[in-house]
Amino acid sequence: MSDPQEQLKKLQVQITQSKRETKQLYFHLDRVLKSCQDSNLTTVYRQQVPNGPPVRFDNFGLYHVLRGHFNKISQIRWGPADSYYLLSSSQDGFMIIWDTLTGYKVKAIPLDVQWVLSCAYSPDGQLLASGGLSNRATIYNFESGTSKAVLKGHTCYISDMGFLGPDKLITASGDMNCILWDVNRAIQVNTYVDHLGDVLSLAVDQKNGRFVSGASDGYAKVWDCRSACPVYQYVVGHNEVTVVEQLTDHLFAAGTDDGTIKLFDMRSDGEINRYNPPFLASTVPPALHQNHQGAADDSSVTSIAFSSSGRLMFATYADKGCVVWDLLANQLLGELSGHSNQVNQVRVNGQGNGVATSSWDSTIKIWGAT
Amino acid sequence: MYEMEENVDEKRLLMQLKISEIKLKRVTELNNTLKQNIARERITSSNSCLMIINTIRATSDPLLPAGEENNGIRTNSMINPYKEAMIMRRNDNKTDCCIIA
Repeated sequence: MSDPQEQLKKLQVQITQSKRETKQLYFHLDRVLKSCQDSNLTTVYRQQVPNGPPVRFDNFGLYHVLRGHFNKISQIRWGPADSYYLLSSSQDGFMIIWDTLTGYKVKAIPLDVQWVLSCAYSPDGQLLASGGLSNRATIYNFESGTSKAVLKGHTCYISDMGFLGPDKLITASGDMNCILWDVNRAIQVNTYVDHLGDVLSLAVDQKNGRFVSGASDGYAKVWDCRSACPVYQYVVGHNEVTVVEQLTDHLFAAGTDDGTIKLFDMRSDGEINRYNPPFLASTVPPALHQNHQGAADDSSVTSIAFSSSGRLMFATYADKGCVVWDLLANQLLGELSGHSNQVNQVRVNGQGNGVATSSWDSTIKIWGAT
Repeated sequence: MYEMEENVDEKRLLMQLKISEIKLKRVTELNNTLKQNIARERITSSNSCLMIINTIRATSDPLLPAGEENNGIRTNSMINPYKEAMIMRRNDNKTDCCIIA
């Protein structure tokens, strides 16, 4: 056996060489990525349709205002693709399931912990989930309304969650990790550790068994559920990534707390469009907003949703309400206004014909084509 | 006393050796990941954008105005369930009410 001192020297030389190689590889990767980024979505669209008028957005109407919660609504989720049920969780300690066609409540489920930040609806409609400041997720049976399992494992608040399948749930947490759970056995199947800040948002792709996570470290990462390492990772900016939402298998949007939304494409492995914070006449100055309505004093993007074709992008901003973008032309089309406090969530249903917005004014509005 | 110091030095050296081995393993792993990333198949963003635009413009969307053409989008003439439900409710209300002459 050789002298440990010599071995150590040899290793240190190897480490120095490898680190040099790492630098070169990073440089090479950067060059490869830049060579692929030759245009953006709006430029290509303008080349294809030079004088095309913006998409018409004059046929939108309000169908229902759902009243029943007595505190801020934290999240809303649509039920299975063929149903018109909507799940909402609120800090009044209840989750309510609504029939959005009639506007009536179907069920109200009392939560074991009032401080809920997130909720989820299983794809078969049998299970519901909630999670928040208690660091644990609770699974409820839809039929009985009783709790079925409590998932303990996170060491910080649960910020977002989504079902991957009828019995698989993914949770994102302030402990910088995401966890895949087997709901029936109430055990952890996989843990996803790579973020260097609180994971704030999740978008689950049930079809491909993947999910996108956005965190306060400024990164959005795409994970394959079977692998512990991210498949893709993108720097969204220096700011927190407050929301991620997937449009197609290869395309997702990430919103930051400075109000910018960026569109990332996995086939070209980079950013393909950017939507700057909109300037609206109705924008309330942050200080005034905070004093009078108790809303946040920032302009962060709080939620993103796409219409079924992807042409319309609905986005909610902490200080601007719900705004509708033409995704291709990068133009503002209009607003879904009417809430009396911060609009924190927007969701399009599985059939693509209904939009729900929820607000800190404790109401939900259902919108659709007229 | 001298022997003890020698033991401590040896232990420290072995520890450093172990740490260096782990460091080298990590850097090698990172390099392999970077090589895989570089070798990954990519298309240019302009091609990707073209595909996205074609897909979006060819997909019907119930939230866009009905019509033959809406900036290249084929809008569908699907019945709007929200509108239907509203009309049905109005009709129900009509039958429930009595008219006082």
